[in-house]
Amino acid sequence: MIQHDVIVVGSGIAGMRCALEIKRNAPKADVAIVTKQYPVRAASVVERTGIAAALGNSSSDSVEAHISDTLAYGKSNNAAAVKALCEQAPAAVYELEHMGLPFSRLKSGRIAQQVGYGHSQPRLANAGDQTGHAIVTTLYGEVVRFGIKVYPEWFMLGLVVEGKNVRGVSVLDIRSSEIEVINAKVTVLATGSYGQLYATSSDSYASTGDGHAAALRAGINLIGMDLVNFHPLGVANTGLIINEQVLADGAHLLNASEKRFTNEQASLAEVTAAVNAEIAAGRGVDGHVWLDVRHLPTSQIRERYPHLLDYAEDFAGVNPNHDFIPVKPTQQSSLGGLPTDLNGSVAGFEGLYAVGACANNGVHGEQALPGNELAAAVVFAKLAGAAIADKLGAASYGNVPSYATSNASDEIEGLFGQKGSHKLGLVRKNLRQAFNSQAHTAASDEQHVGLVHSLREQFGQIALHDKNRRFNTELLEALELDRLLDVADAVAKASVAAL
Amino acid sequence: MKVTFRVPRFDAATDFTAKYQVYHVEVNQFTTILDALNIIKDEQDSSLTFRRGSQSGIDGSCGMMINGRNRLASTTRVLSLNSTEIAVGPLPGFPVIRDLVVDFDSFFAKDAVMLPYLVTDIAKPADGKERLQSPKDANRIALAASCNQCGCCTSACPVHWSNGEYYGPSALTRAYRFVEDSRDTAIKARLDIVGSETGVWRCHTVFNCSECPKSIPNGENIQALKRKIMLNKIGLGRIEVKVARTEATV
Repeated sequence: MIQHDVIVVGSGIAGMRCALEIKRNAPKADVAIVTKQYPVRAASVVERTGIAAALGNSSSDSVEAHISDTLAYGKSNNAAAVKALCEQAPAAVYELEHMGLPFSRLKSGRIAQQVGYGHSQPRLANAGDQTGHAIVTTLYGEVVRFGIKVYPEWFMLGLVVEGKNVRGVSVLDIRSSEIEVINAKVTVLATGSYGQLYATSSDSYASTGDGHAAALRAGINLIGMDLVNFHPLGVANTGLIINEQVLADGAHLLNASEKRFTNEQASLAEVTAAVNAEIAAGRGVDGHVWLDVRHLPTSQIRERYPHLLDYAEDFAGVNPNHDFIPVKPTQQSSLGGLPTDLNGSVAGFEGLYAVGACANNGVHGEQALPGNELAAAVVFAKLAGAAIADKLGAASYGNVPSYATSNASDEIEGLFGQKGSHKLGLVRKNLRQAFNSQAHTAASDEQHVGLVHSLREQFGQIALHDKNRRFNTELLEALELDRLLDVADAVAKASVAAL
Repeated sequence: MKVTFRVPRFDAATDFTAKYQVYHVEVNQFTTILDALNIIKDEQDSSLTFRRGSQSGIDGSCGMMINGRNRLASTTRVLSLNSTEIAVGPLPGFPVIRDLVVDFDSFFAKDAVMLPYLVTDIAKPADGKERLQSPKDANRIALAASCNQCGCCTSACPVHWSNGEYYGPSALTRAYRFVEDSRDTAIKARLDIVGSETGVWRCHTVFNCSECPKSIPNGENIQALKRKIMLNKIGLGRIEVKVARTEATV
């Protein structure tokens, strides 16, 4: 058995920022990170939008304006969380700069502030259009500097819980299929989103809601699971997003007869609905509509959203100066998660914290203002880290129940021994396609509950064909799908309850 | 259109050589190499082993050799290769764990040697705000900082094939990114690291590494580090200036 004072599950922005804050406040604390990828590959890198913070470098922006934009966009936000976010975002961004983050700059030498969708002021601090990647890489450098132990390519199987005390996690070493239990005084879930529940998603393949499922299995009720945001500009076959600012800047959406069919300046939800309706009415092209940016200056595209040029070429094989780009709606972000206070603490459980996309403290309300997800990941991970460092002196390792190991090994051996004729790939495909439809009706949501139930039964009849114990990605995908099914059930039931 | 994929199957624990396996996949104009591998895994052979990450190439999980060149599977469309026969293999020069999955542990260990974090004597501004940096200085490091550590460059380097101790282009680009950062003052420490036995002088300017999925001129970065080391040896470098700098300026 391995012991650490704190085990952080997930090496994305929230996980690493939290680990660093603990080390800053309690330098002697033994903090380790476990991740199912290498740390620099974390799903946070997909975030192309800048990080929202009212630095006021380009205008007379204010914390108050940031608060009011956030409340207007999210509608049902937790006001205290929004206040904390907007007040502390500037300091959090300055800290990233002090760590060496390669921010884009103004002539004055200050951090650039891009205009962003839903923001009344230019407010997005950015590193080109790779801000998520820049934050991950910068934080990873700090993790190396502080000598924080990282276990790469270890998959978290579940929380080790005794009563209402969380004592660590059970994990699978992907390279050997061996099981370990990591005993910790404090466990931090930073496992990201559940975007992979949707057939067309902007999220990483790794975003399978592992932390959500671990919480559900420990008896924690997740909140806001039906709050999933969609975006109209998923490019070609992928779900990767072309920045919505291009619509605000005057790009056109065209149907098969190359006619505009909607007001592109309307809200993202309205534009997404219009695109869905156009495709459903048979006026799309192979499940897409066209994005037309030919009339926009290339210099502006290059400056504001250069990924548009790469995506068009890499994924659709077109030149956006002359051709239309095929786009379709895609899942953008999933806001449901473990209920936490502003310090990331999960009520009712001792020694458990959640940060980043797997936590929900209500800061985003119904939809996340662009750039606020990055800001929230950093700000609330920092608060959690400080709170954990504070409590660590009084915390203890506690007893690790013997079933922690046996439950984990039962799950693995059970999967290897399972017999049946259903195919993992097909069960996952059916699940993801069902949830991809964004049309919520009472009937469709009830249907989802039933579908998840029957897919869960089919999952019990999947046989793994790959019996090799070394780097078995079929086993990994089965474990992920198993967890995604639990998440799907929570999403479907939350949608039914919301109607 | 139907395309043929030829993939080496290998398990380091049991095999001496790879066995090649052929798969046929129906593709359209949007299908990427990663899509095709997913189709094979889901529908034909669930034991085919590869890594996948962000689907946009920004995380660097899916570097592999595709028709003779190291590329990212997620950003390479099948039809862009203009061939109905595709050979996919693991990144050369790294120990293969299984099929297309290679061991990156030594790769990241070398990255950590480069001090991959800001080291500076320049004090933080008293008001707690950002250190200043001109757009020109920010642009000097932007491209190198966008490296996703996919390993395509280091894997393409013949020096790295013959001498596994060589830091390789990816780690050296990381050093370059900090050496060129106007906010960093540990230039001498980093030039000592990259100028050591296993550093830049091992580079024989083959420039395979400049065929980078993110268009980073890794080979040129290594030559720039060599020049910096020499200029500093004869007293014409900027090290002294940098160390003396105590406040950020534009």
